Amino acid sequence: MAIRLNFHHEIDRRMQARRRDPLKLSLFFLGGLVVLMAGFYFYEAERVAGELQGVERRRFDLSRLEARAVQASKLDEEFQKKARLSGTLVERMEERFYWAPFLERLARLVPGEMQLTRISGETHGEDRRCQVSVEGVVGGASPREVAERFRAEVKNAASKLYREAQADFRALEEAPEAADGRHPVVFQIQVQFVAGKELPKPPPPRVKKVRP
Amino acid sequence: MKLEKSELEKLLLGVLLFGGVAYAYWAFLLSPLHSKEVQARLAGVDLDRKLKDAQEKVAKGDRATREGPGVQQVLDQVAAMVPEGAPVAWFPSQVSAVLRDTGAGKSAVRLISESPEKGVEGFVRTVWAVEVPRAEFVPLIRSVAALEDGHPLLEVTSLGIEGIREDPEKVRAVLGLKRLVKK
Repeated sequence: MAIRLNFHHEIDRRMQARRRDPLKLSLFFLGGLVVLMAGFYFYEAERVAGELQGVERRRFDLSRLEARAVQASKLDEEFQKKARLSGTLVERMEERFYWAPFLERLARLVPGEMQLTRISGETHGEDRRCQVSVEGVVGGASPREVAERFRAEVKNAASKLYREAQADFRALEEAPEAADGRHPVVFQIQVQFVAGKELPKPPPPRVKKVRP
Repeated sequence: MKLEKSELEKLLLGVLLFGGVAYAYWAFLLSPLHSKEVQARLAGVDLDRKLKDAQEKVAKGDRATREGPGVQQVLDQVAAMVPEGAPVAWFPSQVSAVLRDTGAGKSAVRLISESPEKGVEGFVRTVWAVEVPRAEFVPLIRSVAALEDGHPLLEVTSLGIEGIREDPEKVRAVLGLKRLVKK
């Protein structure tokens, strides 16, 4: 077997050492990394630029819209004021208590033996609470029964039209003897009802907890 | 594989270089970009809120423009119900005319009080007393109905009707009226 001698072993070793030079390798690696980082940076920069562009666009939209918004705000404020006034006025008109229909019904309920001598009434409060006093004289064979029937009919009629209707006798007394020898009855009926809308109930009062 | 001392030094130099590049990349490039992005996002959120507010205001303004004429029409109608001048100058004659025309006969109208009406800006509440000395019951009710129907700004707040002893067909009446008038 022939002996082979490598006279270039020194050169080979140097070449090998150059090939696996850590500095060169790390520079290669660093170069690749820098390329990747630069790519990522440009991608990010593009994205941020897009975002900034979006902000600028919105800023422009806002500047264009702001003048209209100020004008619209003034218009709306004025409109709200007018709408409130108009709403209140319409509500006041619609929520009124109409006396004429009530008096007309009352007049229709009066029987032949009865004569009303006085009607007085008033409304008060936002819910139109009404108090009506009806005074009259009843003649005939059974004036008390007629008066009671009238009271019940008034209550019934008021209940159909309004809320919380009540009709109670305040007085029911015999009057002096009439020409036919009978004793007529003088009465006073107090009618109460609520003609307006139901008001919201006030919140229950807070009860303070007392620590023992 | 065993590294020689010089190779180790080079490797360390490479690592240091990498650290320097990474630091510079983060500190001078990515970090400002990131803070710019955060600022842009915050500004975007703020602008979005302002834009939404502005759009809502514009929408409300559009609604006001759309519905304004209807509201104005109601106000104009109400304004037309109140004649010009002091209420004492026109209201008594207006009420007396209604009572006369509906058959309730003569009447006397007096101003009782005048006060600002709560919740109705620009209007004043006037309270009046109307005395009808002699009238038939049915025409009187008709008068009350005519007042209530024909004058929406008027409200009958109280009434007192009393029969006249000497004339059983007739009644005497006192009406309490509330009328809204312009300030």
